[in-house]
Amino acid sequence: MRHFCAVLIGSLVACLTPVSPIASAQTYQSHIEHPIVQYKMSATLYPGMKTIKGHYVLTWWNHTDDSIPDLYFHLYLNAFKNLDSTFMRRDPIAREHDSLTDWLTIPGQDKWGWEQIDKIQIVNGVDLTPLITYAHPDDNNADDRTVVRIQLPQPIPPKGTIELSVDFTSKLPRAFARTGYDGDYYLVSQWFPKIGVYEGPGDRGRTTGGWNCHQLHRYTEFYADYGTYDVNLTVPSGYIVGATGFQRSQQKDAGGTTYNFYQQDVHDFAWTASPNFKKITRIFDWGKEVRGDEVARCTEILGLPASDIALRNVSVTLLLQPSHRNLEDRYFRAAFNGLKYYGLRFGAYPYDTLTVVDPPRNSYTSGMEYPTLFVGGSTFWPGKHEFQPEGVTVHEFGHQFWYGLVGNNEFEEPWLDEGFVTYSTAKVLETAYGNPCSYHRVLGIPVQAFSWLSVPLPNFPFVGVGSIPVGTYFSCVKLPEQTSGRSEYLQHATDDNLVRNGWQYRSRMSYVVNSYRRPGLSLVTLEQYLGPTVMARVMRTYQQEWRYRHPTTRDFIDVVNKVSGRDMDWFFQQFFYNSNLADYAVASIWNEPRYGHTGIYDEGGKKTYYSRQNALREYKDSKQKPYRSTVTVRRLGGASAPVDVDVRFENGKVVHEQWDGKYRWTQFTYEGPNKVTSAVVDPSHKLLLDANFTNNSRTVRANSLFAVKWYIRWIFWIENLFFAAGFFS
Amino acid sequence: MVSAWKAVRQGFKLVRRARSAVWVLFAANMLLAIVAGLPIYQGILNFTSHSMMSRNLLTGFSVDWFTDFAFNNGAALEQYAQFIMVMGLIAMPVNAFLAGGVLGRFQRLQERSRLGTFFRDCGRYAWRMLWLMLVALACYWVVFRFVNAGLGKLVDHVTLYWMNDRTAFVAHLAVGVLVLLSLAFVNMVIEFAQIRIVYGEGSGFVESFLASLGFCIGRLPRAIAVYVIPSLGGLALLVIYRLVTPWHLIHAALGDSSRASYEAPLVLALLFIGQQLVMFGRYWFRVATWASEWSFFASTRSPAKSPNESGERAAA
Repeated sequence: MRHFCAVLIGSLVACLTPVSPIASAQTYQSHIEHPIVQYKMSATLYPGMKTIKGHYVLTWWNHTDDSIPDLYFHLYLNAFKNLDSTFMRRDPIAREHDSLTDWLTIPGQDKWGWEQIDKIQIVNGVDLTPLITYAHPDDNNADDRTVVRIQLPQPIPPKGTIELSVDFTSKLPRAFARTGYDGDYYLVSQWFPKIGVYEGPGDRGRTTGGWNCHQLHRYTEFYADYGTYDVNLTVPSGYIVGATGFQRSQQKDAGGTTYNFYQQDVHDFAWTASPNFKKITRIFDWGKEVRGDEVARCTEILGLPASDIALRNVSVTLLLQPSHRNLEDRYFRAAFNGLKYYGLRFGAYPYDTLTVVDPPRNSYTSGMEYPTLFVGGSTFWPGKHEFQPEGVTVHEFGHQFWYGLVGNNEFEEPWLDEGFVTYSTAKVLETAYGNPCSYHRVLGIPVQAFSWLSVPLPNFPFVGVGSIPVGTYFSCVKLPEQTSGRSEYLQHATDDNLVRNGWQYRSRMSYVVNSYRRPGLSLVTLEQYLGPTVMARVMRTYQQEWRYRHPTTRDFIDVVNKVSGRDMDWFFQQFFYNSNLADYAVASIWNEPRYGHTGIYDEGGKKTYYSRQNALREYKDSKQKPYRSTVTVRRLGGASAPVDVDVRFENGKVVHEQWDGKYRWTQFTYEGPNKVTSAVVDPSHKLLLDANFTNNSRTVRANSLFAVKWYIRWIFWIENLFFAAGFFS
Repeated sequence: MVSAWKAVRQGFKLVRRARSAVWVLFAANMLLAIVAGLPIYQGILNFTSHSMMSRNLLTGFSVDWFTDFAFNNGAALEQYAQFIMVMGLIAMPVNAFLAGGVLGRFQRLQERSRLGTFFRDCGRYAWRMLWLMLVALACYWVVFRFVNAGLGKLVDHVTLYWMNDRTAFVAHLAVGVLVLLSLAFVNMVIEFAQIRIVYGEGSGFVESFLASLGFCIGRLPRAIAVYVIPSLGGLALLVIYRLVTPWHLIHAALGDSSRASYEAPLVLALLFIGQQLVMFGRYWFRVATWASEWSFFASTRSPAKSPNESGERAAA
């Protein structure tokens, strides 16, 4: 029967494959009944001036029941205009060394970037240019120029539409924050005046309508409405171009080459150009990439028919640096693994195209996502055990689902995309590649992989070319990707609540931990509590229900509760809206002899005395020596969660206990002929957010042999260290 | 002047007759290492001995444990590192002090080896060896300041906007190799300076250092050969240790609770002995390097003066 099912499913896959068109033609059908934005744009790149001159007609639909008196636009590139922008200001979150520190040392004015609206008018109507004013809703920084407000002569009525004609100029910065130029390489993102998001009552939990249009901060990303982009890009002939969407045409004339790209149901448009790219296109043919048994497994886990698991063929274009020709297959394999495993888990990647950009060295544009296009990044020597470029490729591809298809507000809830991508990427990498090399043994000492070459010597010879992972050739310690962020999480867990505006975290590391590591670990912990099948269904449901929409944390919690049939609000309250650490420990194990009667007892109407000596003698003479064993478990951390406790006795028997974990401690007491030898709280490590796994267990007998083993090893390596030091003398 | 190969062969013959010096070097450094590692032993013992995590550590390494330990012990890891660094700073003058005894032994090959004589030689050359150590440290500082940091920064600057990371890597690698070669050259010069002092040529450490610099530059290929060939023997031992240590068998034996209770301590004892044999071998090659350099140096000179004579000259 099982074989029959496999054959049936295999046949179904085979049947589905031929009708899935090869994605060399535009086949995408819009899933949005009424797009809010429709841009029809033309732009020309002038490499000599690092400038883009553009024009677009924007059709904007008021999807709410509000009358809207004004419009808000992002002018993101003005973040790089001067040091007084909110992005550049050294606010607490930015007071750390980053790419900006190096960027500021670059001489000349060419590195600065800016953007301006040359003219804006209602099509066949009023010129709105004189009505432009700058707005700064987040921090009252009057010098910030990243948001403009335009007072309309007449409000836009409910469900009404406005058509705007906009001329703009964008001067690209020398790239350091994942947009701009580096020599003749251009990554052109957040580059045109982009309308904000008007949220009506009920949208993302709002009670009153209003514009959601934040200034650009150092560590926040973006938020925009879904719509259609029809863009003509003109670049000097000889430049190779990649962009969001499907390339519909290419036309060469005296002014250069003009490409037309078109995409529906996306919330941004980015592009790249360079004469040095090596352009390779391959087709992700899902019928060849996905086996029948993999589809069968998904139908089983997700409870869906095989037809719902079907993927789409996608045309994948890689724009590769010439010196990275050895990475071609690895980039494609990683992108294909993303398309396959993300698709199987969360639903098919719906677009026809995917463009992967391999950026040049030191361009500071690596690791960034845009709809249907993302930037990877790798050194030419990616290492034997390193997930490079696989890690960044799968991660940035993951944003096509979490950010691209499910469009959270990255300003206000960055965890909703970065956290989901961290969690999902770990799943994909583990499935496709196994566990990564997280630690290396350097002379016997375990060193975190990413810090291996960050030795704080001045100008350590390899630093200038990024982390060449030499260490992995000697030794590595593999660690499940899902728990790889625990160390950083613990160091910054109490800095902030996880759910918080992106620009209001205490430090850059707090932003990183609370947007990436902590939600990644929290989602794995949630999976441990719900079980892998329920969690897979939760994620699938959330992805499908919120595609092309803007969810909040509350919306995700509602999906969790609905799909699991349990009230998991407590979990989110403890670990998402709180900054307490969890730490459960077995505090003590006591085994006391259970002596017979000692003292005075009422027996037969009179008081009978039993002496202690007599009790001790009887206990000594008895064959079965009973014990009273007490195991004390404590909650040392601020956060609480239900935990299991396993108690092991000397005859090998294990008793499983449960504790709601709420009060500060609890005790389990046993009486019987066997002593307790050990106890473990949370034996299956459900609670990955526990601050100390070592104190989760306790044995009655101490073990020192392990310490001797490590002492012996340390002595040897210290001797070698001193041997080297001896040479210096 | 003998060939480098002949000097190395003579050096290996010499070291056979100076085994006691190897033992002293080995024992002194082992003692320092035992003291340096003690806080780590006590730290991990206190943190883990009652936890089941100790089983994971007995048969391998646990990243979770490492995270727990680092997070829950505040600055303990830094303190351990600092303590090891302090012990390393002690090890340097100790080894400089012992160098006089080792090289003095080459002067007294006809005499019976005695600890008293060894340490008298240590004392005889102590100040000059310690001053040479400071000269060496100054040279290292120069290498790190000007070659590693200075040249490295220049290469960083020049290659900053090179888009091709292969060529940038080669440029940085060249600086790295130059740093390593510079350090090796400083080592070699200092060792010949030590030999000059014990050999009885020159009264001061500065004169010995400068003369040794001239000596090495004047005979660079042979000087490098007698320095490098025996040194590589010690490195080869380390490589062999890395390759052949049967960790999977050791961990299997340690993790098998069905074995007799004495077996795990026995395995650890054998591991310790094996490691110390490797270290003894490394010190043997270390002394062989000195002996080869000594033979080479001696072949360029008239017969060595007696230690008493050179000592008197130094005192004068």
